[in-house]
Amino acid sequence: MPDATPTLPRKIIQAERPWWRLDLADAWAHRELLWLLMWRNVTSRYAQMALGMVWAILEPLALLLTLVLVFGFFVRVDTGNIPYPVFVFAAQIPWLLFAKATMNAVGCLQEHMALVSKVSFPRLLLPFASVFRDLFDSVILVLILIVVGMFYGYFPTWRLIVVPALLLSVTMLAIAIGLWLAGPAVRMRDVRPIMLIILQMGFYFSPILFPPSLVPPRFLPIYTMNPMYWAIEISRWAFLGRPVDLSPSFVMALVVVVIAFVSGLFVYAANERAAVDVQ
Amino acid sequence: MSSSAVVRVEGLSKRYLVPGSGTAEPLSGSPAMIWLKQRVPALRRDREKDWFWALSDIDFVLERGEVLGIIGRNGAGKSTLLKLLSGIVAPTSGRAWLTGRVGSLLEIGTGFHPDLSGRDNVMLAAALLGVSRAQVLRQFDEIIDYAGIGTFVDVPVKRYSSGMYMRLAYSVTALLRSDILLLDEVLAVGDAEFQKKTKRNVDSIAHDGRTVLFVSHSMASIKGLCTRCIWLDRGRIIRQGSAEEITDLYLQTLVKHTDEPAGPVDIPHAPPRVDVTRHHGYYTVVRQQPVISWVETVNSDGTPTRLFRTGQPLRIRIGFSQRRKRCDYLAVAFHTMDDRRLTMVFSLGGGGLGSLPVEGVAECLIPELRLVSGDYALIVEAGATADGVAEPIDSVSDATQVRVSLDDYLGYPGLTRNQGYIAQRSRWSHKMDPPPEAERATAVPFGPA
Repeated sequence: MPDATPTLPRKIIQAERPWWRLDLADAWAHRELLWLLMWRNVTSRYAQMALGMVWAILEPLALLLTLVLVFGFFVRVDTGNIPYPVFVFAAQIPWLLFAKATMNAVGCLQEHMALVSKVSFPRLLLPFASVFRDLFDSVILVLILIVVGMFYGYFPTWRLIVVPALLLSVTMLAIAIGLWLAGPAVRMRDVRPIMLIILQMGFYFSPILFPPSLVPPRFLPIYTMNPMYWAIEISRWAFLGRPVDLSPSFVMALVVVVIAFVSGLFVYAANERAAVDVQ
Repeated sequence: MSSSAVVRVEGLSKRYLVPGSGTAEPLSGSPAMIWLKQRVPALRRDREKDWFWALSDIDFVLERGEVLGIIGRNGAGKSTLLKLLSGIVAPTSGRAWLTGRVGSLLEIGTGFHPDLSGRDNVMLAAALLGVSRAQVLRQFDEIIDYAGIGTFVDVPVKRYSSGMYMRLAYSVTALLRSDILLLDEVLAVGDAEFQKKTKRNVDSIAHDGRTVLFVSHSMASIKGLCTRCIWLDRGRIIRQGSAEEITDLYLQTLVKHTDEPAGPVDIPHAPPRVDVTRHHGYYTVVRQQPVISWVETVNSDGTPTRLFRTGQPLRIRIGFSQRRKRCDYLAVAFHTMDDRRLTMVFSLGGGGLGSLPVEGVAECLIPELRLVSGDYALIVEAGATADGVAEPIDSVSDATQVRVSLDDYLGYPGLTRNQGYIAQRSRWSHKMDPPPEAERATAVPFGPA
């Protein structure tokens, strides 16, 4: 028989799976699916909306306008010599990316349950696919900030080359949180509202609306352990040339992100199989 | 292990946690520990939890080119088996080996996004199956052709008719080269044309040396398509063999409503009175509150039996008790053994019961049974009407079964195998004048001159 049996893929279905098996090869074999899921998330979001892609920027710009009016015009936060609109905008880009991507990554299993419970595919793709839309939106915002920046006299410099790395590492942090919490979020519906509260608090605690010089110096060692502190400061450095002092806690924040991400991969793999049973 | 085995399943089992199903052992430990365990379920030990075994100890082997039919009542574990084999759900114990790419269609159109076009959805569905873009593009025209969606390729699928939607979903799964195909009830949907096409397609897939596992309630499809068949009941294989043999057995027998391991019992020998208090409502769980406690079938003489004759009276006695007076009707539905509803009668209106007491026994009289020879399952229901709509509170699927024989009700014996379900008497007459006597006489070819 002209048989290709040896080359056929062999699948074993069994109860026990060693904790260290991530099936990365399977995920890689489905990389086309990752692209399609990403684009599905982007295009389906703006389908049947009269303003279409404008929505990607409308919401962040409306928020920005409000913040500038309240904190720049009424409260008059002291930002040194940097105009308040660009001061907030540069901080808002990494923060919005982080907040939205985290919520989407945490909810990725629950949001795609219709798919997860009916089709077999590497679920590891989901947290990655679900944050792409936010990454896409933030790239648009970067372009707008460059234009707005030029209006205030901040012209693009060589420093902008760190922006892609910045956006990617913020996304990685969001994915790491998603990897840890996506499984529990299916079992306990409380996880997402709790995340929402934490992110809201984080928005006011992080140095978005004010410069970190307003934080009492004795709290700074703890304050700078927040990875988003560094994301915001580096973003202001890249867009506005505001000096940033990379202290040891920057390295620590980076290490924390990497550890959370790698360990998250294993946590997710362990949780993902049970998610269908407890949906 | 034979080298041509494509699917090998050994001791595959799956259990689910179903709190409140009452299968747990009593909580053990000190009184304080018990108090804690009652409040914090996480502290309970494994055997103190309410587990439900959806599948237990499934074993079978499939060779290349076989088409396996999987039959069983609702809740028997058919769909769970397919979900395990497709890798969507992880088993609790046991193993399965599958050689080749597995394509599954467990629900029509899953993975389809309503806002995306047919073309994009084909790409997405193919990517979900792990098929490369290059291969989809090679087969794209064939898929669109088979689905018959023509110029609608670039229209969002939410604008498709349900028929187009289904055809597209089926053709993506079936035509993209998968070596093992898992199909759940795909023939139950779609028009006759689509069903015919699908049957031909499954045939040709098996002919290609690919393997198909096929769940269906339609015994005709199982007989027509499958080489082998397994019959599942409460998560176990109770019979396996040739499709012909198993489907015949399935249609003739019924499954007892007890907790002991099920075995087929012949209808005439089953007791006419069935206690349904412990009968699960299966997955159409409409046993919100058990109201119906027993069901008995009685013939025209008043003798309890399961054997009836067409044209004769059939009485159904129903014992019920409800905690509060919520129900205002009882109903009985007649189903074929492959779960097709034939008719349903309600205790409402002129010949009805009026209001229902908290406890009692009701009798439903069918004065003239109008079903043809065969076996029928009775669904018994209690519920309340609201705004002219019956809202079931307790619905016992397959509560009891009866065997009906047509005898001489029609005035002639049953002439064909397929008589349908309804016995309809008929009267015939000539509507053209018969030819005159003389002509008829001369027309006799071999008469005496």
